Amino acid sequence: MKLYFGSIVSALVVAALSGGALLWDGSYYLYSTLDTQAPFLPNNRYIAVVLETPVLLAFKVTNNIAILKAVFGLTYALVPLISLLLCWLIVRRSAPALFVWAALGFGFGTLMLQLHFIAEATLSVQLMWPVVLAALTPPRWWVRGVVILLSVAAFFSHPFALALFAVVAGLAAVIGWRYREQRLEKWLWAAGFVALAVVGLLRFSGIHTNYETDQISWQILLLHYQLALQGVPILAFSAVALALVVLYAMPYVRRVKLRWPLQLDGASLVMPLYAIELLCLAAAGALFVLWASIPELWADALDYRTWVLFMSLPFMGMAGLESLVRGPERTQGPQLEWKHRARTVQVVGVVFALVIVLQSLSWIQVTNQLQAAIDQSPGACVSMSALSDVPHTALSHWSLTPYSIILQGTVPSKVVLNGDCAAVNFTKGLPVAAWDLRPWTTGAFDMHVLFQNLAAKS
Amino acid sequence: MSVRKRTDLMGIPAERAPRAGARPSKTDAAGPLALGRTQASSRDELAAWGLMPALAAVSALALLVIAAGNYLARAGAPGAELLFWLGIVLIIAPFAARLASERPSRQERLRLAVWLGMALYVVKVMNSPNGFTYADEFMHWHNVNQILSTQTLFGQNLVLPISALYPGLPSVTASLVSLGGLSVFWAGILVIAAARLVMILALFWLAEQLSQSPRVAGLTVLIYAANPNFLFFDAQFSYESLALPLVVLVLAVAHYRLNPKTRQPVVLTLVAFVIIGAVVITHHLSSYFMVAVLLAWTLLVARFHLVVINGARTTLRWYAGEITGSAAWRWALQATRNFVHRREQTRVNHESSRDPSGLMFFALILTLIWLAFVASSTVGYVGTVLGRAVVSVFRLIAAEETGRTLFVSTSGYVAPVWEHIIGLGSIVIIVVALPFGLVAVWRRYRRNALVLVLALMAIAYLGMLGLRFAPAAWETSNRASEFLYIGLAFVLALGVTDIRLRKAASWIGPAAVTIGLTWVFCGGIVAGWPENLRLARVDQVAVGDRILQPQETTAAVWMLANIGPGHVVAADDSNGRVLLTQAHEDALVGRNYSIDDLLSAPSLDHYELYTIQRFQLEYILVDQRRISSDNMRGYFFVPTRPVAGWDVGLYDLDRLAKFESAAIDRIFDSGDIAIYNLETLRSGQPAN
Repeated sequence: MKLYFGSIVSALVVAALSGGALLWDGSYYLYSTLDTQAPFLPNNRYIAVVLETPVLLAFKVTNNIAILKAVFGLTYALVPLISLLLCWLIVRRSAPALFVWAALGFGFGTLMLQLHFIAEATLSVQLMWPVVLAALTPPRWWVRGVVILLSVAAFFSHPFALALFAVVAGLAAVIGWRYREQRLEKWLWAAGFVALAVVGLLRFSGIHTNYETDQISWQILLLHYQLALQGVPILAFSAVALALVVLYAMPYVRRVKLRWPLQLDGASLVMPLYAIELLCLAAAGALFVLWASIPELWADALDYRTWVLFMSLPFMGMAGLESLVRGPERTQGPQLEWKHRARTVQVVGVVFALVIVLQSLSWIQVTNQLQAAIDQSPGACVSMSALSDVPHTALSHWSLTPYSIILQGTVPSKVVLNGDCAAVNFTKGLPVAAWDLRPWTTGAFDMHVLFQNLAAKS
Repeated sequence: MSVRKRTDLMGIPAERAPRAGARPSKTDAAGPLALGRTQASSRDELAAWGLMPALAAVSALALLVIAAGNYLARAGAPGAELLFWLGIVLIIAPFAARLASERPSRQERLRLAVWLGMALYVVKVMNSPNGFTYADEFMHWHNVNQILSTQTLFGQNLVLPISALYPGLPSVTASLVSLGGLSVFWAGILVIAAARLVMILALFWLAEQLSQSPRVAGLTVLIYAANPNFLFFDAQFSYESLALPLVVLVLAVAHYRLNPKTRQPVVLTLVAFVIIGAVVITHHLSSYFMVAVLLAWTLLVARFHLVVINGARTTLRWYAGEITGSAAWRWALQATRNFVHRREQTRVNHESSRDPSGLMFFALILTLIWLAFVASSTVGYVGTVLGRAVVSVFRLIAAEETGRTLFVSTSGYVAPVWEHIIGLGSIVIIVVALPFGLVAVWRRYRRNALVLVLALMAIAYLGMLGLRFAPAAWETSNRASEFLYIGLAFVLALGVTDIRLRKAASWIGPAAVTIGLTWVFCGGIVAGWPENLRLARVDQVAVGDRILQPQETTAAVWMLANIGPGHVVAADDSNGRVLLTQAHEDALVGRNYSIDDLLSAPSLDHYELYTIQRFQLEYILVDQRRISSDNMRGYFFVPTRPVAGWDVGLYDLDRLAKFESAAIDRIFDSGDIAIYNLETLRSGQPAN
């Protein structure tokens, strides 16, 4: 597991230091947090308070934007890392073979939005993974504390957590029914998560925004599928799906081999399946590597956020199915099976690291192009239409304006606007976003140079 | 005819035996290119010419027909296309029939191959007999001018900067100009003609060595000529036209050098080194292709594929949990040691003292040195093109862009239905015939590593055809054809010679092969070059004793006479090339310098002024004709009658009006073309 966690940590550090957390609306999160000196809370998702406080504290020490970006990214990077570590610690003794599903869930299910650390939809799924595994395994005292803590964090992260509470409640109920010795506690868990889901639903119905309700529609799902998943990603997921089937079936195939050893040669039966599984994972990895290397291909990956739950549920479902059908003693598995799954986990870790590092590098390249375009621009205001490479990358987003500000530090001299610079009246303030007209004289960012430059040009 | 029964992986024949059913030829056993060494009597020598004189006469008649087609095309008269195709079929069909036949002697086959290749070159020369008119030719013409005027290499070429970093073609041409007193155009024609000759001879020699069959060799040349870029693209004055024949020559020399009976291997090695050097300094893609082929050949000779197979097995055992990671590493190290040890052993035993690894390493190191120290910008240039192709393929898979419609040009011109039939039919013929060739490779040549490499190239060609559906990748697919066709031609030639229609009438087999080969050739032309450019266009008009030039040439001549050379001039794609070569200006064109944006912008705003100041543009040439943006058709008189695929319209007046209202001097006006002096606009420093 050293190789696996080493790969994960390396990838997350590279991603955080590359400024991946500033992808899309991440730049607005950081800009708004620093400028207003208060955590930016989108749609009452209070988890941001915890995750944005470190950068606020750092801002009191330094104005260096590179350091602030790193603190911001590293803080968010702790969520997947801690969640994965907890997953491993929860299953390590009782059912280590189950960890493979979590590794696959992090390695593929949330991969497409991993660089975009701040997506609460992804955070909610990642926070709930240890809870799901805890529901499937015999409880221990410290696990109960972790489950409560993570459930609360997920509760205040994203409405997807409500669906996941329901999933955990269902899994706990069925596990309690299946294993008598755990029945009372698991059924209590089930009741607790049902209650949490109901409370969350009531809260959501009271405070939800139009944005959130708009996302829950078949049309939006279809549109986001076409934008984010269709093509290379869905091909990769198809390969992963085949790998999942083989991975799940492998213990049964081994059993067949043991039952009819004379008729079926083990090597001839099992090895091709291993080969198929490895080739599927390699193919998925290669496709995601290409996807990550070409900024145009992941330009619309942000829309994966509506799909991240649905693409993660199969991995959770496989873990649940295996626990139910095969029992905890079998998920501990014979030694060879865990050895095989440990290799699978390592392969997934390497794929994850490769994809994230390459996506980070291509994000740096795109950022450098934007920086060069800003530097070369003759005017203080740059229209997005003047940036020839922007329309086909992740920069083609409303958050380009705050990102252009952050790239220049806390005293920006130029700004990139989504619309036409000539059509904007800058006298009242700077239109950072469609809903955010920032006055020139307030805020922690020093905008007077930009204001003077804009005034001089006009 | 004799065939190779068994060879080792280096391609050295273990024994030779006549193939069952093959008709022996008196001259088949002659050594490579041993034209002068035949001991036949004078009657035999006369017989050795076979039908060559008759076929030469037919092909001369065919060229006359094509010349008539060119004349009609210039005059805008109907029927030109028909004459072109009639001429092409008249050239190809008789040669195909004769080369596919078992009767001709080796000498006749070689002469037929040479004549065919050169006759097809004449088709291109007749296409533009007055000067260079292909987009790439202007860049290399400029490079020759630079060498002639400065007497140094690596001059400046702002239209295609990397072309100046590969001085092989321009330096040879400039030498001919200096020594022979020729014009650059005619020196270029001679250089490419010589390259074409080298291509045919080298390919014939290589195929003959590999197959031990002059029939296969002759057919290989014929089929190679069917590649989409042979007739026009690789006959133009361009660096690839010179470098690719040299690559084939390297392979032929390298394979000849492997034969233990070959005398003076050291001399051959030195010759190969010189040719490799010539390739490296002449063309980037050709040198990379050469390295790739030599590398694949070397790895197969060294049985590296066995290491790969065993490595895959070990990886699987590790993945299954049967061995630990450290055990897998140990195995990998041991396998590497064994591999190196085996190589050393064979070297000690002098078993492979002439394997291609030495040439491969020499080519690889030389290519890398050239890339690192001379032409590092090639990475960006080639990378951008290939990157766009990859992106396009994935966007196509991702359904983010619609696939390219075959037989429809970027300007919207749709090729006639009969061209669809010819083009697609040729692919079907190749797909049907290829398995025969691959079976022949497997049965008789699988121990020859170079033949296996050629077979891989043939299979890769089919794979590359899929790229033609991706908008930004079709060009990569098209450009790969002249490289991959080397393998495809050889494998198809093997397949053609293996086809036996025992129960059919005796004439059916040869007729089917002749029709098939002619069809494939015509399909190559359809796929490789736009219909409306296959025949000559009007690039000058004689009126009395005066020669009238197109407007862009007139503008360039005027500029050279009145402004002088060496000024920074912005222009569209076609005018920029003419200014580069005929006015010797530092022309800036295209998207790289934002010239397209500058020309198409409705007004001169910050961005446009910044472009002028940043590149210190002195003049700008504005052409109102849409055809000026077309770097393939923008050098001719615009047809007076509508011609399919020719955009004869005009741009909006904004293109000119923004300069008219900017208080700058219009120093030239020919009606459609205006040249402006940008002195007042560029005087400021670039704003930040």
